[in-house]
Amino acid sequence: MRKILLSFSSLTAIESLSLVLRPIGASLSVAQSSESMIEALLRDEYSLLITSHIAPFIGGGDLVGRLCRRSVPRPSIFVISHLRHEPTLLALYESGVDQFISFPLSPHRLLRKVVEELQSRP
Amino acid sequence: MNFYAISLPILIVLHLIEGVALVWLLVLRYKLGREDNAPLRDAMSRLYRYAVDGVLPAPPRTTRRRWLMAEALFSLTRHLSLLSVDERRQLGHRCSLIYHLLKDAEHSDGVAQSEALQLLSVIPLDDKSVERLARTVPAEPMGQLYRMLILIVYSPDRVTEIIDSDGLHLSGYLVPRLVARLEECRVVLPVRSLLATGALLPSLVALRVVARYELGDYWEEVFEALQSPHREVRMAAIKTLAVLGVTIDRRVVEATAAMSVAERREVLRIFLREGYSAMALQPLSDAEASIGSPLAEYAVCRTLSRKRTLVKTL
Repeated sequence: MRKILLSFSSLTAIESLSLVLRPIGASLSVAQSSESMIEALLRDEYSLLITSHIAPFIGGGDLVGRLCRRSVPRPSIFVISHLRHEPTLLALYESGVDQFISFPLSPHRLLRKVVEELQSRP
Repeated sequence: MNFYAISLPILIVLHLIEGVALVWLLVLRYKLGREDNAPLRDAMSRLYRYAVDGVLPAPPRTTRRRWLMAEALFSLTRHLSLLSVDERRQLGHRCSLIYHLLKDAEHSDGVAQSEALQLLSVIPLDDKSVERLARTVPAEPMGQLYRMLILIVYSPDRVTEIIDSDGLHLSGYLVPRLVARLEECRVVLPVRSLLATGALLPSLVALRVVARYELGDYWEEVFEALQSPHREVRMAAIKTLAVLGVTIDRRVVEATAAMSVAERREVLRIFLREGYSAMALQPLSDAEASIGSPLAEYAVCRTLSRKRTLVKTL
């Protein structure tokens, strides 16, 4: 079964996305802080990370690099945020984030993107 | 005999009270130990089912459940484009959310009033409700912000008038928040007419929009804002000009001449932060040198310091 990690500081955001992603049938794990998100990512193997935490990617921690250096394939990374600051978005893409989606998001669009991403993985 | 006859019933009553208290404590402990988010999660799930399957949730019977439903509606609307305007309006009426939240906004104050207005901001209102809301004057800045937001969303063509008429003084933190929420509500802000009012809040909102989207077409209007009688507007105009990357000319120098030393230092910092070189800041440095200010060398020193840091890092 595919594993998805949802990492948001807001519980309501986690609940909203859980409601959207429930029909996929993937195993959903939750992290409420960027620290617990990094810990979970380095400990387990996930197919997809959906997060609103941007600091681990552009804060100089090279999280994507650390995930790539492991023996297991790195998870696809979707960042969902209320941010619309263009330089920050560019920095996110440069640091290895696969998709940036802004809130409020369309449930159908997110579902389609997640399914496509999971199907494209080996 | 008399002693037992009197004390036995008293003992029995005391034991009964003790037993009831114990049971009550156990119930309280169970309630406190239960996951706090379960009721909110349940309300969100019911609203999601309404959006997907069209199953209308039953009207909440208690104040707490009504509040939870309003919170769930607010959270879902902020995160997902799920419920249409009509669906939210129908929910607001069917579950009496509009009536009770308006009542809370009218009869409470402080944080409770702000929260009620915040929750109300995602529910489309009818004419009567808007009239009631217009008569409410929140004391908290956050409440004022949400009241203004609701009024603007109700009549977006009157946006300049609403922002101008309230005479509010929102802090530097709340102006970006108002702009972001208006953007989420898909309200188009008329930058030119907001700046043309010359008032504090409309000017700050317009300058924030120009800076946020780096709208180069409005640089002439931003230059005019440097003449504003409000200090906040002048500083916001300088920040916006720095974001737009305009060449520093006489108008900027004249606008900064009337400022205090701390403000002039802040102006130099803003331009340096946006990547201006010491050469580009020469008109400001010259103006500082002409009055013998220690800030004359500020730009050069900061640029050299940044270069040294870069060399060390590399």
